[in-house]
Amino acid sequence: MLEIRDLSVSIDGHAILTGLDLEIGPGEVHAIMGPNGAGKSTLSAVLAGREGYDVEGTVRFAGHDLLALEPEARAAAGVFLAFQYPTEIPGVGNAYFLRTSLNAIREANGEPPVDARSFLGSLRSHMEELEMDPSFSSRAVNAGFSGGEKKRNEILQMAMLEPTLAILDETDSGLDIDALRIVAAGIERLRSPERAFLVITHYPRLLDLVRPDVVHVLRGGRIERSGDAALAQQLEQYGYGPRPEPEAVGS
Amino acid sequence: MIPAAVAPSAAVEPSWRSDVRADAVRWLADHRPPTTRDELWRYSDVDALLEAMAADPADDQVDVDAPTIARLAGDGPANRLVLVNGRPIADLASRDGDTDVVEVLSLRPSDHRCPADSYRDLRHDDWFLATNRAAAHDLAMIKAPAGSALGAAHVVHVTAPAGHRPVAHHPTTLIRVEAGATVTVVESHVGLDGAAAVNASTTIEVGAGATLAYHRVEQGAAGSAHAGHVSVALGPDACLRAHSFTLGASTTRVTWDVVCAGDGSSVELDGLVFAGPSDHHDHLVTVDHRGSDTTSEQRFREIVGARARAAFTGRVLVRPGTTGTSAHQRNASLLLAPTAEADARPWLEIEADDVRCSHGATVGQLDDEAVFYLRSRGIPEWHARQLLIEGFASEVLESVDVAWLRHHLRDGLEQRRPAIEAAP
Repeated sequence: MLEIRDLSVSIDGHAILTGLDLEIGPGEVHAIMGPNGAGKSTLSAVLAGREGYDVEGTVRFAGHDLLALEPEARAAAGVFLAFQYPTEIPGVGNAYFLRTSLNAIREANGEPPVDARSFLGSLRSHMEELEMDPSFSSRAVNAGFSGGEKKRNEILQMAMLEPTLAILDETDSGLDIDALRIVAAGIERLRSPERAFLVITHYPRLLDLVRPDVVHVLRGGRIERSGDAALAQQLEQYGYGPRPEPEAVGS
Repeated sequence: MIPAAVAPSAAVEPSWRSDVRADAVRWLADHRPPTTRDELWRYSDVDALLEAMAADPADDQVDVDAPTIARLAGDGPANRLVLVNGRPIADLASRDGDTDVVEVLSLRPSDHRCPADSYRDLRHDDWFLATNRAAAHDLAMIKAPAGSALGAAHVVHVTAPAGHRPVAHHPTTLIRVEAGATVTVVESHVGLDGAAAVNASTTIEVGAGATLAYHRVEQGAAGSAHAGHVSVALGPDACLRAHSFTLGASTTRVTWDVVCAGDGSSVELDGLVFAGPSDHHDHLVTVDHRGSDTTSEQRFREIVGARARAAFTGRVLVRPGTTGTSAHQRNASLLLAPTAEADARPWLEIEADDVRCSHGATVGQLDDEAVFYLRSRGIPEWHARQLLIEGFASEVLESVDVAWLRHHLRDGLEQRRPAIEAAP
């Protein structure tokens, strides 16, 4: 579904990613971990189409040359990025924004606009599941939201837009235990054989709640190591450095 | 210099009216038109306004139908008066049963009734205002009798150029809210296509303890010039809740002159200005705090297109001997391109000690991060920009309590979309 080959990204001549390869199949949940500054957020930004990077390599997504598409076309093709720092949009109501977004994606895919009644019904039920107060549908997008409320709002958008590839950029950062549980449950509800996830995180605690199929370590601009969910636990224990050799223990 | 539009009326006028005209003509003979060297006109495109005003008077009878009025000025429950080129069109007037208490009428030049002392006695200090008073045809008059409540009136001034000849039009509105009354007034300035200059004057009296919600809407034809003057006198504990919209013409100067004469009077003024790609808009608001315990709030927002210019001067005068004055102003400009220009000028003359006063201005461009956020949600770039501009305007639009007007203004902004798309 997503196939990244030899992806190199630099900004103002400063190399951030250097030949990254990654493949994600339908229904899979991949986690990317790595130290600060390893380029995790850059990877998510480049996949979503943020400007300002020099990008080389290829990214294929569901038959598209992803890097050739405008950000809105990537969304229409089924890519969704949950932002680490969601942007505030003063004066634009949350529900109005979501309906505009949903209809723009539907229009790009040759579908008719969503029926207002079913839109509101689905918005209400998703908001209940995420334990969001109904007032968030009329408030301006992210304006004056707390950190946790912004993250819940990202998951709400993901639930409404039903992407085929969801990239979560440190969605767990800044969340308290309850908010983390609600957000994780929101992600789990969306897991399906057709939908893939790329979960970027610093901490394994999200991965206890959203079990990944594959865990990657991003370090030095590329995927350094990959493994199953157990790798996340090892990282917690030993850090991102090389795993100590058995004979070195206790010496 | 006396503009071409000032022509003695053939009608037999009552003496109060010919006195007002003669007075204005005398004043004009003694004064030159403003230039940008005059501090109060520094940011105006005075030359463009004066050039447009030199056109012949708009005195043709032009047919306008009700759907056109609804499209141009909106439609909702109100006692409505429509004047085309200064002449009332009886067929387009309407009355709303629920708000019947407000009187809305058109005073013909031959009408002997003298509407309001404030109109007769208005002091000239403005060339455009004097020109309006010299050249005005019918006077649109709104009167809310003492103690009346829940009235709504809508005055629509239509400028209708006939054929390809440019015209100058001098619409005049008088609003009198008597003691203890509460009334809502919408004053729309709209135009049919064609070159036109509008030089509008509105005189408002709000009596003791009365409340006026007043909406001034400029939605003239593209390319037209508009000079507007609003003069307000507030009695004791009188309250003015005002909105100023400048959304249509290409060159404007709108002057608000509010006098908080009575103790305890207050004014709250929200403005929204849309400057298309090459437009030039200038707004001057003066609040003169003459009474004690008076409050004023000025909040203006400008959306400034590619090579456009928008200026706002917020002037606050606090007179000696007054106490308990509170005066605040805030201006925010949204530049749609690096070549757009905005000027915000606070101008405070405070001659008393017991004053709480503040002012602030921000100038910004569309937030790239916000544009990317919206695009990442599938919204095309032009639409993302449009949403952000609407969001910027919505703080002002949402404060309009008249639902039909709010919808009409939203639609009006939507129709300016080509100007927004042309911006980057």
